[in-house]
Amino acid sequence: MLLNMYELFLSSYWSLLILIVTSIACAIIGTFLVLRNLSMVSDAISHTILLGIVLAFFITRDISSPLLIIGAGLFGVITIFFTEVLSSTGLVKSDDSVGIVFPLFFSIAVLLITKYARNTHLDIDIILTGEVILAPLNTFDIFGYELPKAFVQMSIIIILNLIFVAVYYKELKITTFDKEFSIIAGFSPILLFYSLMTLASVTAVVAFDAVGAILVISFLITPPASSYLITKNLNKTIIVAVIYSIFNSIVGYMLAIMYNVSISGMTATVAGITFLLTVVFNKNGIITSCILRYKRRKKMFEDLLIVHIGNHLKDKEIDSELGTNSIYLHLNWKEEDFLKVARKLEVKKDIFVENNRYKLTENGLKRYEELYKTYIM
Amino acid sequence: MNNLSIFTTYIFLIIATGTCLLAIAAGAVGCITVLKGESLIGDAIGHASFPGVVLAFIIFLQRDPIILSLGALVCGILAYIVIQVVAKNSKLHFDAILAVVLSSFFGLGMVLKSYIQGNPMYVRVSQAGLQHYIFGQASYMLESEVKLIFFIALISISLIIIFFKEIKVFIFDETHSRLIGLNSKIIHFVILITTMSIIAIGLKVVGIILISSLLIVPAITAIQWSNKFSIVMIISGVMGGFSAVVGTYISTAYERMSTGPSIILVMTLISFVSLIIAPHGIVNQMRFKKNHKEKN
Repeated sequence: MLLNMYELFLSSYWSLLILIVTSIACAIIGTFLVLRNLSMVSDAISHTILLGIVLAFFITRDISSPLLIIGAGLFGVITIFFTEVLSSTGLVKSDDSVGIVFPLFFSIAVLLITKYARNTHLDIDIILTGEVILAPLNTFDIFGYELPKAFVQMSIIIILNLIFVAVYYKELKITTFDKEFSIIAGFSPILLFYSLMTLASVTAVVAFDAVGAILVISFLITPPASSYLITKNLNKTIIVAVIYSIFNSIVGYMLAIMYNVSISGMTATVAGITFLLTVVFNKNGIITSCILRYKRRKKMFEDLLIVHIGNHLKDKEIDSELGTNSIYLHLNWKEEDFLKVARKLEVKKDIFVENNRYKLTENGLKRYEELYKTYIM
Repeated sequence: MNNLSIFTTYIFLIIATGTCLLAIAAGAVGCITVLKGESLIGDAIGHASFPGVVLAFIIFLQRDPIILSLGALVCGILAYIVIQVVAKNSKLHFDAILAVVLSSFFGLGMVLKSYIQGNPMYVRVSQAGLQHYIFGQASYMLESEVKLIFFIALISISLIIIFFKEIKVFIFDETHSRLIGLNSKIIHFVILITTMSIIAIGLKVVGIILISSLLIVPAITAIQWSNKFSIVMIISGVMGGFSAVVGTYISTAYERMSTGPSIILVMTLISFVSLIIAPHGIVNQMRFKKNHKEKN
């Protein structure tokens, strides 16, 4: 089995390389999409580029033409433009305008394919779900080396994305986090927004070859979303997102080969799992917040008891208020809950029992005074 | 075929009834999600139900639409819970969570689908139907499916009518609804179940990708025509049903026009026209602005 896998790996390592390159390119640009709350917009783009691909295909009649990339990329931008225009009328919310525009474009694309392109090379299934294992078969020569086309294209996209981020880093940062200030400072957030979206849709178009139109969204959004949960600095968010995406690709690829299933699907699944793990285990995640809630609850009960004893120390009805047999009735707690709290405080030497009454020790008095100052005064 | 005689053919009647009922229910329920500002949840849940369909097929080894829809329903609810839990426990924007859950679940669906494709255990059982859940295939609708759609549509619409007042308060002022003692959990649950079951039965008709627009587009059209919640809901349902019939007619009359996309196309065109000429539309807005300027 292991040997078999090794052989499979040797024969298909280009697929893995293409997958990794694709995921890196997507993670870089995706970080900004996540930070600007454009995740579902990019989902819309990843669907509408299908219409661009179909239209460009009708013009060029060649699935591998670079015109296809430009045409489809343009369509992503047109989608954005339409949704922006629609929501700027104030008649619909921006979410809703995304929800109107992308099904329209997608429906047109499906109709065009089923009506006119049935017997052509344009397979709607491959476009949507992609097959990275087939990607290396399509090669071309560069300086005498035979390289898979998808790999070369994706590497160019990485370089483009990196250059864009490096050159406009400051501007991207400001427009992402403080739009008003960026206008005052003299940047055009709209221009930057459209360049970002152009790059995103070109990345998505090139990636569709390898991973399919629907799963592009996983490569774009999931790693940056995980990374955003554990980082606080834009630089680090990008770097950690890239690390996440490389990890997801490698694990997804290995699992997919082992069980002979869809590679891009498996990578998306693994990405989802690493995301969930991050949500559960990160510093502010579900587990830590549960523990914190439990600790706070315990402390609150202790504080309540101390305040109760402190308040009633000079009371007339001290016997019933602080008596060992009746105190829990006044607190309105169950007896066993009360005993748990009381025992803990006795161990801490905050309270003690004298003449069948609870009293505060010196420690307890100090704690009572502090509580009194913070809560009651 | 004569264009009018299509209306009386058996196939057309079956498909038109099915899609029309589905679109009416989806239009009515969609108003709730759109007005609550959660319109993209439908999209996410639609995508996320896919692994449920394939898993139901793997477990029961048959293509009975009821079983597959149940699988979709369970998976959709699971996805919804994951979305809510993550939203409560992380600083991520809701959009990003939707995108992550949508793509991960869909990825899982792809994995399962490729697993049964390569597995000899499932060769004997035809799996041709599974493909239809991605793009929808209304033209193979059976009478039993129409009955299922009718049943679900009836239940969801009656649920909405029964809880109409509560839902209205819940949508427009959730805090107030809690203050006056409504159990918002039950209302939330009612809304959730109706939305999910409509998505689950709609998957096979219009497909995973386009199901969300059955919920969103009629509602947005209706909002342009009225300010009253009940009327918006009625307009939305009627509009959905009408587009479904027209779309089905187009796809039956002309060769190679898929039903789902045709319906969406009709719907969106009506919606664009409404956005322009309806009482709240662009034309009226401009006229209002002009009048305002002249007065000053």
